[in-house]
Amino acid sequence: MFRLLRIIRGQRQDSPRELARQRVQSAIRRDRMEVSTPQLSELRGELLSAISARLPVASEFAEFGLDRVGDDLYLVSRVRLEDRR
Amino acid sequence: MSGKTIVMTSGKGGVGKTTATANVGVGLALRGKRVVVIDTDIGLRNLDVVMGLENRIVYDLIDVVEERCRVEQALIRDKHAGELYLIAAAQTRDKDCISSQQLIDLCRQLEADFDYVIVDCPAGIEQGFRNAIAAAREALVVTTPEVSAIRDADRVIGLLHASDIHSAKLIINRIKPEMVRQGDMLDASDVLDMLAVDAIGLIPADDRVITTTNNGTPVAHDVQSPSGREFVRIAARIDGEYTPMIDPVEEQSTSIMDKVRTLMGITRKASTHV
Repeated sequence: MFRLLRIIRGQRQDSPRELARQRVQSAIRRDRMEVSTPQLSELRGELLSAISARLPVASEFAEFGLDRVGDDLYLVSRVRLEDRR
Repeated sequence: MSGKTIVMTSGKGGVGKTTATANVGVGLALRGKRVVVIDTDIGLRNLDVVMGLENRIVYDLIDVVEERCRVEQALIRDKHAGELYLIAAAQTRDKDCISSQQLIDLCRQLEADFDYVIVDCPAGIEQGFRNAIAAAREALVVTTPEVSAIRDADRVIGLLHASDIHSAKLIINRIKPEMVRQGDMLDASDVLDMLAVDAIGLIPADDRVITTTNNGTPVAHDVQSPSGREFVRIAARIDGEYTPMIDPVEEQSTSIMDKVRTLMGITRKASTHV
């Protein structure tokens, strides 16, 4: 009933399924890291520092995470570069 | 005979691991295989009651490894399923009473006489878990489509990888097709994508699991039960028979449409799932 009212009012909300998916993915990524928050922060700083030496990094827009594909675990980073045009 | 030892594990408790162990054992025995299921949940044994064998325990797993009896004396034969045997856990001891090496030795000994040795692992990832996985060459991870169960399953899959068990397969238990259709529950593909492993069975939530467990007769004996039929299919897949995976959500949609067609007098070509 409440869901129907929200739809009529045009309010969008993630379904319980979507919410569960997001929460599990987030928890799993963190678990797979097996590194402490200070270690992760240190790694992030070192990586940004290394990249900054060569490229103009917008450091506030950097994401780091682990992802598993099959048997392999990947460190995935997404670093936004400043547009200097 | 050179059997195969498979561990049934989950990380989280209460997801249906012991029930799955009993039913996979029954399914394999119904295929004519010689099967032994071992309860390694020392101090909290339950596989015996799920199988209806709780009144027939004389010797248990600890009696075997501490050599108070021969292995044959601790084997309890199932009443209904041919060559299916149970080795019960000790109820009055703790998990440190057995070492990984003792369980490895026992499983290797049993592999000589049985086609399948199925090890029911305790919940958690402590010593009991480490013992249970040490003996196994393959693993079935049981989970439900719930946040905490999936997270724990991922942790367990990681630990299995670290122990050189790379062939873990997933049993997703208690799928509620109606909730999945309404967007209230994760579906099988969501769970498989997140855990990055293959499924070996998708079990629908089924009240008959409760009633059959109350009777001490695993649901795999009940051909009318959707979960029972899927446990039998899981056994076939373990045994190397190609059996298409059936998503309970699609199966229920199909059966609803079949009922509508029947009511409307529309006949449909028979289809087979297995």
